[in-house]
Amino acid sequence: MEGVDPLFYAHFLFRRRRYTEAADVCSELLAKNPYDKAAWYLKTRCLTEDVRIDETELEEEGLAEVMLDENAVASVPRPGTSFSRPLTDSGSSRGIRPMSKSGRPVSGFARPGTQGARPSTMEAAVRTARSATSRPVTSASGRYVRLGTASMLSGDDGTFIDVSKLDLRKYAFRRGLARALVLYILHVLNDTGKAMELAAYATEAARFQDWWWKAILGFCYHRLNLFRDAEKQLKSSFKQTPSILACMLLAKVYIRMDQPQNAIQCYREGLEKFPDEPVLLAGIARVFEGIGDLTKSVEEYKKLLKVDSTNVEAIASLAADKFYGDQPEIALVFYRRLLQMGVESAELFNNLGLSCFQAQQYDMALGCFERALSMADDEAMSDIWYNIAFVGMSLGNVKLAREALVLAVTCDSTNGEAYNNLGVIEQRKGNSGDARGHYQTAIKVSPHIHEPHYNYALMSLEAGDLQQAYKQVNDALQLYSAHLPSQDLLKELKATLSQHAS
Amino acid sequence: MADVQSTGDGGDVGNQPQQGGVGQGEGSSRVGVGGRKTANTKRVKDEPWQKVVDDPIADMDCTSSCITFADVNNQGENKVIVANMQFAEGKSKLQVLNCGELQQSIHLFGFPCGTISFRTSDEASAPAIAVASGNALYVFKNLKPFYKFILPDLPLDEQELETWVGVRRAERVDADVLQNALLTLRGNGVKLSPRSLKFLSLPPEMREDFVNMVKTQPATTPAVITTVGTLAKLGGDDTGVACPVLGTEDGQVFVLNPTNFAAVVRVSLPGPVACMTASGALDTDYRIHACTRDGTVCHIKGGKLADHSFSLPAPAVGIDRIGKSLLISCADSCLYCFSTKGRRLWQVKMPAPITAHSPMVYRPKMLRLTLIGLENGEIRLYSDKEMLSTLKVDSGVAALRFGRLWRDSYVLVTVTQEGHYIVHRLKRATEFHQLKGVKGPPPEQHIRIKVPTKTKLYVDQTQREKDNAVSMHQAFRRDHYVLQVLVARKYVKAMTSALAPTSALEDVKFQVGAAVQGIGPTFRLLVTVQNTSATAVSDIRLALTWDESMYDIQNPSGLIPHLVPGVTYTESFNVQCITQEMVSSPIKVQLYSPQRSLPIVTAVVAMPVSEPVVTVR
Repeated sequence: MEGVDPLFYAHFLFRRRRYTEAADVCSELLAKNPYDKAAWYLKTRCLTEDVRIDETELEEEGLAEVMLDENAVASVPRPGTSFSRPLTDSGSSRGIRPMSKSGRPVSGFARPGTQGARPSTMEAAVRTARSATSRPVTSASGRYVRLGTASMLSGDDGTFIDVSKLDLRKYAFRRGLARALVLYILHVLNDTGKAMELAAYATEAARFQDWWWKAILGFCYHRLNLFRDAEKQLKSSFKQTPSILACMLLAKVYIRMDQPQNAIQCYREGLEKFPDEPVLLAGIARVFEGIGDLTKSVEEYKKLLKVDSTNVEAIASLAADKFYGDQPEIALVFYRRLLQMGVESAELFNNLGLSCFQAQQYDMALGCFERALSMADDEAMSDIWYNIAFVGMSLGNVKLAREALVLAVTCDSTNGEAYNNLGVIEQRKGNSGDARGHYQTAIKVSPHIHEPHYNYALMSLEAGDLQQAYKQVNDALQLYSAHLPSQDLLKELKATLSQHAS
Repeated sequence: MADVQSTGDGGDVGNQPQQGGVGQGEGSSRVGVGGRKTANTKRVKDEPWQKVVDDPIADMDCTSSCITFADVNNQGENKVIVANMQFAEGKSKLQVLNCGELQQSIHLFGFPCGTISFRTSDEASAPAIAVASGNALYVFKNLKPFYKFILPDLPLDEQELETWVGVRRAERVDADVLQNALLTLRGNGVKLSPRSLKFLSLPPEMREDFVNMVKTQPATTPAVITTVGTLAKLGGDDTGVACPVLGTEDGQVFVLNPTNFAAVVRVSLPGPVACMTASGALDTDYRIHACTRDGTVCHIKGGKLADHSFSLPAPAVGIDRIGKSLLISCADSCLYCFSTKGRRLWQVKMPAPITAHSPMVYRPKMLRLTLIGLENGEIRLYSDKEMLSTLKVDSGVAALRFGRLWRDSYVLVTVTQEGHYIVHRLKRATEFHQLKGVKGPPPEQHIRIKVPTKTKLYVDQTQREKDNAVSMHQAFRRDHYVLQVLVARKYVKAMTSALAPTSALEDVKFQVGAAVQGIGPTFRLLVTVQNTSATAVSDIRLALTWDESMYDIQNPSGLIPHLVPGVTYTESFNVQCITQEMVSSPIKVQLYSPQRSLPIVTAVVAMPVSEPVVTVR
């Protein structure tokens, strides 16, 4: 690339997202002239873009945030007004739609943040949906530190900008440079305090009239968990100049403050200004899913899919909804669409297999499971074995089902559903000792599912252990109060006990 | 013909219950217990039925179609007519009962399959009683034999006829040759005559005598009546002239003229007639709905078999037509309602198999209801699909018939499978509309469940399934076998290397669970062990296997001296994470027994990522 202006070349590389190479070219320029502002600006952008994540969506709540939450207003909120108290009677019931390990209905698309409900105990907080990557202690020590260390390792030239030596007041007046710098501080250095300082100076310099700086200031407050301040800044920014950034951040703040209705309102306002914006539509859909209003969530996902026909999240969520809504043939079409779009994962093949089986396309069902097995990791493997066991049970092949269930618990010894089904099989075979053990394990590893409690109660009743049966059936009803078989069993037990008493 | 037996002789009369008759309250001393009666007064008030006769030694053996009501003496008072098969004793009787009291008993030939009463002409004479038995319809008037209508014999296969003619002409009977000839004919799909079938079923030594006995008689295949009913001739109420309707084993339905007993209608159905119902009138317009024994419902109208027939999910027990719908009780314990076009309108599942089905026409209230008798002795009264009341008798219901005795006195005659003869009187004050819904299905049942409609896609996929059923099934079978092998292999591997948290050994069964506490770098690993076998096990060792570059564990083994079945034992280990990397690796917990070289069970514990040590300046 002789004869090309190095700065132009660096721009060329930057536009092609070859950030490391672009940064190298800029470094050479800066070595020649350390005061080359254009090169300094471009290098800052390169280093930032290299590690930047779109933080308007991603949210992973740490242990400390969850357990020491001081923003929640009501300790027992009404259903539908909090993520910790989802609606129970909308969408699919617990009897149909299975639960994730944290006790929420499984979503069609795994995202951080939505997987874990707000747990009530420390022990439940430590246990997350994916046991291999457990919940970080705080969001500060979690992802940001990890990303920070990763970026440090990749950039061997050490720190490019030493913020502590910079006069931030001076930079606040240089509009272009300051914007690049604040993003660098936020994403590369992870120094929210400094970023906020710069943002505060810059807002002041713009006489509180710049919406971007207000949004960044709000973002910084949000990172520091100062949600009320963040809300103020972001609202002001959005009022001044509506932007998707401010809207998304504001909604995120509301979600963190556990105010789903406000978050939805915020998205709706954003949609008035930016009709058919996929990001906002997806946001609404997720919030509805979070409060358990699956019907509305599906409506929003449908709107999203109309706007963006290749949105994986929407397709997967709709597929899951159709599957549990007794229309596996439509779910099958959605999953096939995902496959055509190039998504290849064990989970997808597993879902394809299940949909094929339920839609009676038997010639393709089992092949999909084999495919899924060949590309699965341990966690997914356990679920795939579980589904194979389900197929085995549907075929009446109890031997196959039992073996697959044993493999499921071998891959993941915290698969409570597998233990429960294993218990049922053992009970039917007459090994009540084994069955009892399996039920107890299931209750221990998955305290959110009601089935092992009910099965244990049934078994205890047959064995004549009325006290245990009474205790277990009450536990089952506490977990799922609308479970009819448990209610019937309780009624029967009460009748038996009163008979004994009289 | 049948001979008439007067009331005085025969053992039957002596067996009559001491108490009996209409209006005497609790009929039998076996049922009425003073204390219980008072206790039940309130309940009895709502009950539409009152038991008037309970005769446990009546020794009745019949089906619903063998009971009818007829004014035999033309006195304006109906009698209960029972064609009693008494199959075990081999002598059947036509019994005339005045409610509970046996009045007359007439010996019958063969085993009756049904009895009807009908008027042969408009004159105010006593109605005729007809009993169908074998290939004949025996008609009685004033309880005297009056006429015998014999169905024409069925055509015999020519070859079979020739065979028998040959046997008659031959000097000596060769049973083996005859047997081979008949077997060949049967193999060729020829319907053999009863004589040939009887011959084939006999033991070899008896065959020759049998042939010698029958060979001089002409070989015939008599038709067999399976069901009998009536069809009004001119319409109007049931006191008018009616035509007997017969269904036969070879699938024929005859409608006979009541005056000269000539077949006015003759229709062939695809199978043996099991039960039928006739509605309308012969001279105007009529329908006959007949169920064949293989579960097809055929319609006869205008003397012809209509095109639309439909099949039932199970063999039929009884059929009844109410308005535009057909109520059919089937052997799968369900009462079905079909439209006359064959569309299934609803179904009601019974708690026990249905053994009797009888229509209940209650003229004073203009009601058409259905009575269903169950094998558990329950008699249910249905109006449409709504159950109005139930009754309980001592044993399974064999026959049911509802009818009028005189003016406003309607009774339900029940014969149980043990031969008891029970009569219940319908209380005149019964308000049927108040009974409604009392014991019917809960109101929730009528709330429609939102089931998504079947999509076009589903229909297309079903079509694909239909078109490629064989290849799809073959592919599925192959995949199924492959999967079974795969699973079995993985299972054996997991078991032989004891990777699973449950053991497959017969004598020792354990379950191992593990939980991790803490956020790092120091964790506490809690291992729970449960003995799920029936006996206690002692001297079990625990050992941990882990990546030594990542964790440091002090005392990585444990000893559980004694394990009682069912109790959970917990061992705890301190795990120190020694790596700075943000990664984790699983820890394996294995259980050993001194008698075995391999570990018994293994539990793999997925460790969480340790939090980094943050130094605060």
